[in-house]
Amino acid sequence: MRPAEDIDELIKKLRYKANVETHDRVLGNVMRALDESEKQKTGAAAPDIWRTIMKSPITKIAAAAVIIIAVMIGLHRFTGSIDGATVALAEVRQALDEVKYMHSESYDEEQHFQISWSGSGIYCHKAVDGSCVYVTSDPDRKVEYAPKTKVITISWPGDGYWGAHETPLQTIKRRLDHHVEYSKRIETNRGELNGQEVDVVKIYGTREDANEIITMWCDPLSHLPLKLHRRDITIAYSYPEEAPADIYELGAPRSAIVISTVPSEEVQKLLNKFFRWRKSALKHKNIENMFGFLTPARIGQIIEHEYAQQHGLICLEEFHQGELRTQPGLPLIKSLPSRRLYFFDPKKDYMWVRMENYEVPEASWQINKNWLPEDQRNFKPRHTIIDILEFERGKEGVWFPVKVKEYDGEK
Amino acid sequence: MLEDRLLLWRFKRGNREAFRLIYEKYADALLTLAANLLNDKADAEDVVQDVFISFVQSVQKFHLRGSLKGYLTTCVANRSRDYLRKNMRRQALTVNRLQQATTTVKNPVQLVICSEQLQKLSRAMAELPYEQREAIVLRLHGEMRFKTIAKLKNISIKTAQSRYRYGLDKLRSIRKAR
Repeated sequence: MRPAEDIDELIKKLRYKANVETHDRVLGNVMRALDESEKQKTGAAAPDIWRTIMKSPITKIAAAAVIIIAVMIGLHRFTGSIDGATVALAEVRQALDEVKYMHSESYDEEQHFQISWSGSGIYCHKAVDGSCVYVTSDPDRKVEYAPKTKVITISWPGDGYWGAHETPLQTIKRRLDHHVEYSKRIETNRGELNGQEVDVVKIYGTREDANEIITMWCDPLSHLPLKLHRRDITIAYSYPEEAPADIYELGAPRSAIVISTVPSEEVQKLLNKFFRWRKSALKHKNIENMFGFLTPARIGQIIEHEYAQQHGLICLEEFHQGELRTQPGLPLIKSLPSRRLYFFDPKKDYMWVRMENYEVPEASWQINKNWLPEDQRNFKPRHTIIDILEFERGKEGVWFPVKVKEYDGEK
Repeated sequence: MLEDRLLLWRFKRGNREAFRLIYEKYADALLTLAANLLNDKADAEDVVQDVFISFVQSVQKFHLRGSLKGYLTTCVANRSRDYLRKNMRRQALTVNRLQQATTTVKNPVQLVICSEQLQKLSRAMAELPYEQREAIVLRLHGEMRFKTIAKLKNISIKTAQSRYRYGLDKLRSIRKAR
């Protein structure tokens, strides 16, 4: 009888090595299955990338923070090799997957800063002027505090926030993915930060500036970034287990007036259908000019309307306060208070097929009648209608407007 | 291991070349494992193919906790077992030869076996009860610890060790008898 060790060794020699044809066949079948799987996934709605740049000063600094990462990411081109620096950066990225919340504080040379928390379905930030924003995905709410007016506004972001924005944590992850994939030269060394031993990741040169140096200090154990510096902007990161529970914990006073513009469940459902159609349609055709600017504001109510009844449509009524807008190179744009009626067609994927706009000076629904720098009575009331006259259906069955007519509703 | 994580990561982000590298790295080891468990080359290829298909289809939700090799090995072990059970049921329905189905080599594995000695060993392996064969294959080809095998099969470590030991003893006696 042979010793057991011999049998062990003999069993290990029972190896199966498939020929090239077998591997090609198996690999081909797996890839076909992957193609099918991806086709099915593309049928579902894909999340948009950051398209909206928020206008607040807070967001400008937030954007600057994002740009730091973005620039950092653009440096390198992945060569196929897996070197130590790429691995180090991969570890940083991987560590970010595990965090519950990311807290960041951003400073520029003038010590402007924003403080934000992001992760687990919330994003919130506050600025030095005391303004705060608190966004949650469930429930889908955006809560903003304006210190000048001492008003807290609760709104329903709908498809418009989580679908079109990224939190700083999401953005860093996406950018680092890109960075690992396309990186070219990074150096990692041991260093010190506030008396603590850290990994210092240095990136030399950017697309814009070949002499630029970006530095990231990372915890050697958790691999999480603790600090990032580029030019005159520094961001400090930490990873708390908890984030502020609401806008009050973020800094808004409990004495603030609360205004809710959250529409009814019925309106939310209707608008979600419209947003879904808009997203599908935008993938195939540029209808941004029409449906980008004339999108319901997520504040309306569904009403009975003769035109809607006659044509089998659903009418959404919105009241707007009017606004003053500035655009570079253009005189001040004044929009009067208005009542808007959107007529959605359930037979055409819930796109709206008619929009009526009534501009009304000194409208009864106006909260502040003195908002205009000049007398409202100088403005004439206007009634305009936009009708979609002709439609087309895309390959995947999505409806598109083809012929649109805008005219004076009083004529 | 870190290389696997990086490959997995790149694959998650749509890099198919990364998957090809994962496949090339582990396909032969997994085929060996499945072939030794199932005693059939074609069945082994089916099982490995199924495992990789499930893997690519669920990769976006997949979060690697241990080693990728360990994960794929476990998948192959589980699927081989399911495959065998399914075949047993099928055969039981058509022919009342359940006992024969569990012990008979229906199509000797086309292993790269140069020597007669290894061919005999392969046949002897096929005659082992499945649990013992599985313990041996997972230990020697899957390079799994007894603790891991025990956890995978939901048995005690001692049972896993016994199955392995009895399996080897039985192999020795089968070979001796011949």
